[in-house]
Amino acid sequence: MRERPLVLIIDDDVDYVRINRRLLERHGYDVVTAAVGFEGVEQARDHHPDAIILDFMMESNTAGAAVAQQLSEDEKLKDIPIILITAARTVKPWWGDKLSPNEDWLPVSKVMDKPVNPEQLLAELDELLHGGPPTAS
Amino acid sequence: MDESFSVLVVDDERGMREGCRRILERHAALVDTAESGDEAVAKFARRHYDLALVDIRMPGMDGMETLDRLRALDPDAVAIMVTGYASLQTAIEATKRGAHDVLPKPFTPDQLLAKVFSAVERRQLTLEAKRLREERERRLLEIATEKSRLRTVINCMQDGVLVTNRDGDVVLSNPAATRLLLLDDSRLLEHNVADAARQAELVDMIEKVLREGDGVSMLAREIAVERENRVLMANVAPVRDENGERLGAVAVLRDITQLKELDRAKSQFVSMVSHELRAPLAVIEGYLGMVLGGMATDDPVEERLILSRSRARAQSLLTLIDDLLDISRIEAGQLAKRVETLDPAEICRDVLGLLRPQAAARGIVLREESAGDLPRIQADREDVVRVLTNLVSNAIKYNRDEGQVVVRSSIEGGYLRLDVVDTGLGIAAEDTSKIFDEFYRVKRRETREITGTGLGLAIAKRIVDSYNGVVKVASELGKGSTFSVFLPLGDIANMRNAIE
Repeated sequence: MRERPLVLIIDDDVDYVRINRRLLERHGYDVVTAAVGFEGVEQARDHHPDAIILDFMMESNTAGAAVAQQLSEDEKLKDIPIILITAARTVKPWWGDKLSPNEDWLPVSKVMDKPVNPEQLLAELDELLHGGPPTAS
Repeated sequence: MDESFSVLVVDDERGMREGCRRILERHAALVDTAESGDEAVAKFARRHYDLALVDIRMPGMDGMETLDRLRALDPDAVAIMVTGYASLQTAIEATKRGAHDVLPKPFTPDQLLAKVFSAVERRQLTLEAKRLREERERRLLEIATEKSRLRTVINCMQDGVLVTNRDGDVVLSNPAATRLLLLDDSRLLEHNVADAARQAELVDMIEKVLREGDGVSMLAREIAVERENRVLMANVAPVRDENGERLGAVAVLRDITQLKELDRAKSQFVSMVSHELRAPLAVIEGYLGMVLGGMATDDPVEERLILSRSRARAQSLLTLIDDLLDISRIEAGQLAKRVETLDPAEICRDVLGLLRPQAAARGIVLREESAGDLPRIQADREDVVRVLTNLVSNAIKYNRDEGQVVVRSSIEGGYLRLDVVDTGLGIAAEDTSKIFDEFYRVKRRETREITGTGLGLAIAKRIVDSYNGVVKVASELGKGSTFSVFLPLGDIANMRNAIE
């Protein structure tokens, strides 16, 4: 692991990216970003981040799931913990369990509701990166 | 006899005629007389008598012939033949010809009355039977008419109707049922519903109603028709006779596919609106948190950026709410149009003037070109300004720095054509069909800093639609897009043609 862990933020909202980037940088992380799904996968391959913060609704309504699936199919990337941040659970209650971590459809470590509380996000990241098994790289 | 009855006495002897009249009138009879067969026929043709007393032997037309003529006039006529030469032969002959009885001369008043009363009774029974027969025929006709009327009504219904007997055999169905349930017509009538219909849920409902009819008043359930992806609302109820005895079941089927689709679209719209409202609020909340948490205060440039971005997102939220209200008003047809005669060239100049500072900030040139002298159009000024503003503002937002936007107006067919041509990013072919959808925004690396509600084109399209116009787009990635609006010239164009 790097001295400062590297987090990849994939989100199409440039302001939201900026907010989380500042938050993480202030708390000892380095940050790379991507605004669309495929760019996120490219960034993950290029930088091999220690964790990924992923938006759900981007270029398509389920782009986040597609990104998570692509990452999980990549031997080198599949163990990187992913936090999915989405407003979809609150605005689309009928999605129900579809928005919980799921090995096939939504292979992520954690799902958090947008807007996410900064302390909670930091705590989750800390746990995923330092809390040991099962998901830390 | 309780009631009075009419008798025609036909005899060539005056004494006979008057003797009979006297006897019969004493017993409430209305008596008329005729002294020949011809006179009797003439009287019978004018009115019917309950009974004819006919002397067989008369000069001219004899009694037997008279009987034939009278019965031809009234097949229900009852006749007693009177004869001085009574023989078995005569009686048989008279009965064959339709006479009710034979009265031999001479006779006593009692003998006459006995025969007459019996004959009148026969007459009354005949008439009653005839009346009942006619009434029955009329009823049957009414029922047939009613049945055919009902049949027509059921056949014209958009809802499917299926009726079974108590064994579940289909006894009635209409074309809508056949269509909705994808039934095979030839397998329908007289077949058990379980064999005829493929929809297990419907069969279950009908069987349940037939089985438990007493406890069930009506079952209602949505059933799916797999092959056509349709949803039907099925109502099944028992059919009972006047004693409450179960005769079978009736199923009424309504196609609610479109309703379900509408419902789904509405939910989707609401969820998209919620998402679009939340996103900017989440950002503003995040930025405020940064400022209050002291995360940005060490760098005044950064802080200024954060505040100006917060403001931009707050403004976009306001715009979004305005746009949403507009959409719902256009949708409800509430946006009353103040239609006036407008000069399209002047509106173009106004809109471009308003947007020029925004364009100039990025070195984009706005230009107006019009093909000669344009006719005026009939429209609400606000509508035309809105459409043009949305298109030109997109053309600026999605343009490259130092690019240009040209608004070109011309006449094509019966339409005013406005083209908004930009030198921007262009739109990928797969996006062109979706860009007029609510909240659809092209998301690419280059568009991430561009703010918008995703409603501008949706509103423009709805407004143009409300004038029976057309809006379309042609685009090439990396080179730019052309949005074309066609507004019908309508009456104004016709007036011009008339003047020229």
